[in-house]
Amino acid sequence: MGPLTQSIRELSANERQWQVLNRQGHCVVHAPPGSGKTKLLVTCLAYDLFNRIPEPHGAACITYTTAAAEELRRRLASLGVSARPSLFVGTVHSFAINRIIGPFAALLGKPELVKASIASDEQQEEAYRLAVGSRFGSSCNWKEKRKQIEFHRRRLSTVEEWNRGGEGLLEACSSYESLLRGDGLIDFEGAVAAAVDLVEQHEVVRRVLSARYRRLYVDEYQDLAPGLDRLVRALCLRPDSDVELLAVGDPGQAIFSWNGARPELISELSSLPGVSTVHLEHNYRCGEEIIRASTRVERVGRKVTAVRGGGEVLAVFCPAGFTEQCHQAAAAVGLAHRRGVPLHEIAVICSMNAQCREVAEVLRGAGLAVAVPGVEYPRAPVTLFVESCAAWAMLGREQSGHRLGAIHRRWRRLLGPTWTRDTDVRLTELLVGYRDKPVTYARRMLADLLGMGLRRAMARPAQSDNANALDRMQHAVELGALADATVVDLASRAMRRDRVNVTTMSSSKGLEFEVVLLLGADEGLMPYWSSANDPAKLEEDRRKFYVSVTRARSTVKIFYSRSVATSAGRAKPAEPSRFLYEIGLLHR
Amino acid sequence: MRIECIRVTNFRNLADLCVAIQPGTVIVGENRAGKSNLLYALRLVLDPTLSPSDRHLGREDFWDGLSDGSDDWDPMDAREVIEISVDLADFEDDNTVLSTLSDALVQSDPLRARLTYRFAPLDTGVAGPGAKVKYRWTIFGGEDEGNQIDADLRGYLYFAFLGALRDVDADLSTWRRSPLRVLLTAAAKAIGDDDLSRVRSAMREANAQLNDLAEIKRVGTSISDRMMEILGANQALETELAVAAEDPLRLIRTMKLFVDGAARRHLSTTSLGTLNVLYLALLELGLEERLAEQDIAHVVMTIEEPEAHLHPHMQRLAFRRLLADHRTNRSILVTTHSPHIASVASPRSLVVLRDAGGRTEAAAASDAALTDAEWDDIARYLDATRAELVFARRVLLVEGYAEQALLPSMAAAVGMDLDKLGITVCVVHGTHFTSYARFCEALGIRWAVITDGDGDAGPARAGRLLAALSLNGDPGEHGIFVGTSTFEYDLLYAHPSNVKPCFGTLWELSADRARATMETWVSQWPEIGTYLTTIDKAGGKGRFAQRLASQQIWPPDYVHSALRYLAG
Repeated sequence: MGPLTQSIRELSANERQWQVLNRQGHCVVHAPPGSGKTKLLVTCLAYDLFNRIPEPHGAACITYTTAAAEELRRRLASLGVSARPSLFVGTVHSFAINRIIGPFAALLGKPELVKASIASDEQQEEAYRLAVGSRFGSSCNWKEKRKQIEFHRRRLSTVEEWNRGGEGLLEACSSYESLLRGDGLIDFEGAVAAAVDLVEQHEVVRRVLSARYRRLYVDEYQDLAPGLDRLVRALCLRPDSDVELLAVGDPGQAIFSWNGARPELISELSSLPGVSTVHLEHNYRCGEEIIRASTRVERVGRKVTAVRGGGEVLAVFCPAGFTEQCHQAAAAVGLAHRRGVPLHEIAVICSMNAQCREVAEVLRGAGLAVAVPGVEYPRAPVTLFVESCAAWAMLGREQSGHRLGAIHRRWRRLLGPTWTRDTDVRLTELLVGYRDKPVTYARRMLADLLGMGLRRAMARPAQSDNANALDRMQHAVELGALADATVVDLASRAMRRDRVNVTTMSSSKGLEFEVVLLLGADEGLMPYWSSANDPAKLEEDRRKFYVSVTRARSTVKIFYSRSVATSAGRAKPAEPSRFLYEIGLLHR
Repeated sequence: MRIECIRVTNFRNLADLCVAIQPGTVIVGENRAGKSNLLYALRLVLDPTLSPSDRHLGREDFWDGLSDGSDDWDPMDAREVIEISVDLADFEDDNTVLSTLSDALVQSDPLRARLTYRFAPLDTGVAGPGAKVKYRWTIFGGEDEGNQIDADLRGYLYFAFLGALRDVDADLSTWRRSPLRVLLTAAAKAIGDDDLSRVRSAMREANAQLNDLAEIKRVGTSISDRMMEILGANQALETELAVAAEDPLRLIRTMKLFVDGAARRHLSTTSLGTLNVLYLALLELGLEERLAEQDIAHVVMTIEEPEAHLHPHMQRLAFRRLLADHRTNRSILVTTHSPHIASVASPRSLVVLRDAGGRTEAAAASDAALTDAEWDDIARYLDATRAELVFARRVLLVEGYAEQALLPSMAAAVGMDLDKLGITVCVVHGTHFTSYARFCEALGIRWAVITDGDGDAGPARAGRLLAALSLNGDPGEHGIFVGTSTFEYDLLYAHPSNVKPCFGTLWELSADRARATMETWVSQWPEIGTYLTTIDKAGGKGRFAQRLASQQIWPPDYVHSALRYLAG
């Protein structure tokens, strides 16, 4: 049996998933944690490409991150789908830039959009500082204004909405955008807005796109900003357009509205005529007790059926404060490990990076190996690439768990058109050489890779989110927290096996573990103090809590102290998190 | 890097074949044994000049043995799969090859990679009868079919295929195909500007001088005038005669190879065989250039039956050099019918393909467990005997020339014809049969040994041979046959009618003094010692056997048994 047939057979055992595979017309899938949505999406896409979308037509599949896109591509290849020019798998930014602006902007009289390069973090910062300063004066907190402006730009706010947001914001925004334009630059928000404009204003764009991409697949719909929603509506839902939509998401896991996302979009989409909605009900991941507890927090009242039995959710009171929570967590890790749970199946989740660092210290002090991904720099394909290069070179080559083949494949993707066979050989030579060198600093290795073509490749617009991640990494290894790190240190960050994962609540999204230890469950941290009086923010913090708890297969332990540390480091009395009451662990 | 083995499933007559490959492998086999199919299988994996549609095979490319026998049977309805994989090893220290194969690793210590061509039905998720079957070929690395390897990357392992009976002349005269191109292009790049301008002015001068000749001028003018007449002044083409363009770089591209020194005869005047060697030489030079430029990482050269039109001495000269050259960035595979080419190959690298009822089986000499000294023995033996052993179906291993000379007549006496039975007699010149037997065993050649009895020594020798081959039981069951005393003496006792020709021949060859002794033999046959001394004095066993072979001679029982064993 082929892999696709196998995958379809597995879907057929779940009535709702089977319904999605055999859907007619637009379909929105509500997928609670552990419901197998990625597999469903990939299987549907592969099946449709083989049976419903004859070449040269294709499809577009839009994901939230480049890492998710890579994972999707890998899974598509394993189902036998080979690349075709009319198959797109990537982020909304990449779709806007490479598949809309690239082919159409010059055609429709906007050649400057095609030529524009993506502004780096520094360039954006500089432009915001100038734009905000000229409108609000130099004494104004420009970072705060920048957040507000970015929020509205992501939301594609109307003039009224801008005005409600505050006087002068829209003006500052226009002057920011014209500053970028003057330097031949554009940023992501600008690119998406321009793409939305092209699609909405021009029938020819809609016609060509819908001929090319017969079906549109969108993952994590709840985390998408309105820009993509507008594109979806223009391509799929206008009377004159006929692209078929499959959107997958979960309003219950929306945690990015602070960033401009609008979780209610997925529900709005569901309610449109001609759109069918499927609610997946099975959670294949979490033990029954975890599902029961987490459902109480969620308040949506949806039905989720457990597939696995068992599971436990416990609260641990640590009166001496957060440091005690860290030590108790270390003890809990030790206990689970002694019971046979591998360290990489245990996650310690905190609400903020600073706490992640603190707990990581304590765990290390207790002799445990720890992985803290994403603290010094974001986990993007390019930073993961650099780490795996280090791992392959220093930690046993093919036995390191990192395959040279995969490293080369990622290298080729990163370099894109700037790749030559020669660069492959130079990369191999570099990596093979490190083992025999004396201790080498991580910054040296990064410099070698940058010099070998990585820097040039990162200048391409399609790589800009990678480029920003790499800038942060470079800063960390040159001047920041990793200035003394060696290549071996860098390598060890790539080793996920037999290490406890320490991560923030937001970054835990999409992951799963046997045991989850959630720290800092006191009011002020969870929910965050500033959310307490903002119903929307409170909802989002609640959803973060829900997401964190549902990462676990069998055990969740939640730690609290009835106090939080002030910025001065003193303990301030606090109530236990209201979520502990909601989940049923504490009672008033 | 080297190709370690090739595995083929369901492709033409290669039903399920696994061939171990050595550096400089020479593949022999009768017609239709599957030699060309094996090379084509390798091309499906590696050859960048095959187009995507060449790689899309048809129903006739599936092995016939898959059929259920019905008339309308179609392997593609039955969803059969053709798979060809090539295992590569020894590239640990070559970063260029390592980069190329990084996606294909199947083992890490030592490193080993696999490239697989697979022609299989696509899993579209729709199954069951009536579903349309769509086939697709993929080339993937390692064990994961999702891990497809681009043509771009595969091209780094350069694959050169030299088919049998190519039109070398045409290949050399087409710039795009010519192996001369790489060499001239590289040379042109290196030439300095001064030199180029010198050539340009010399050429301009030559053109001018020729055009200055009145006769040439007349031809030029008449062409221009005629064009003017046809097309009119506005549209006429401007023509001008010249020996060649003056641009030196263009000039270099038009350079050709000539033969016969100053006569500068065109290549087509020379023999096809020599042209093939020339082509090979140019190809080698061109590939060395590209390897040096790191334009390619490794060269796999496959040469199909290169012996055509080539004198045996030249075959041996050209291929002894080519096959002995074990540089690590080149793999060579030759198929041949020529014993001359087989005889200069390293015996370890010989592979025999055979047809076994519609499917090809392979036997590789490298499977034989021999010491280096024994391999050297075999190599010298094959070289001296023109590899006759390798082309044999059945081999009778004998100690000396006498047995070899007499075997045809002994076989004829019992109604057997060695040629028709495909039996080759191989002289070992001694009693060291073990390595030869192992070699035959590895190549799948049926073998038998006849050896002298020499009292207890013969049976003991047979016992040692059995033990060395890890065999048990009666030596005769395994093809080892032992005489009573010495071959010549056993002949005497083999059959009453052997006595007369033996004694008669010896009488003819002997001097008077010996003849005097022989007269006593009428009443009393000689002792073995006396008999052998007499043969020695008469010019030796060889001369005796050569002379005796013209007469009817009956084989001793052990020789007869050996012949029956081989024929059976």
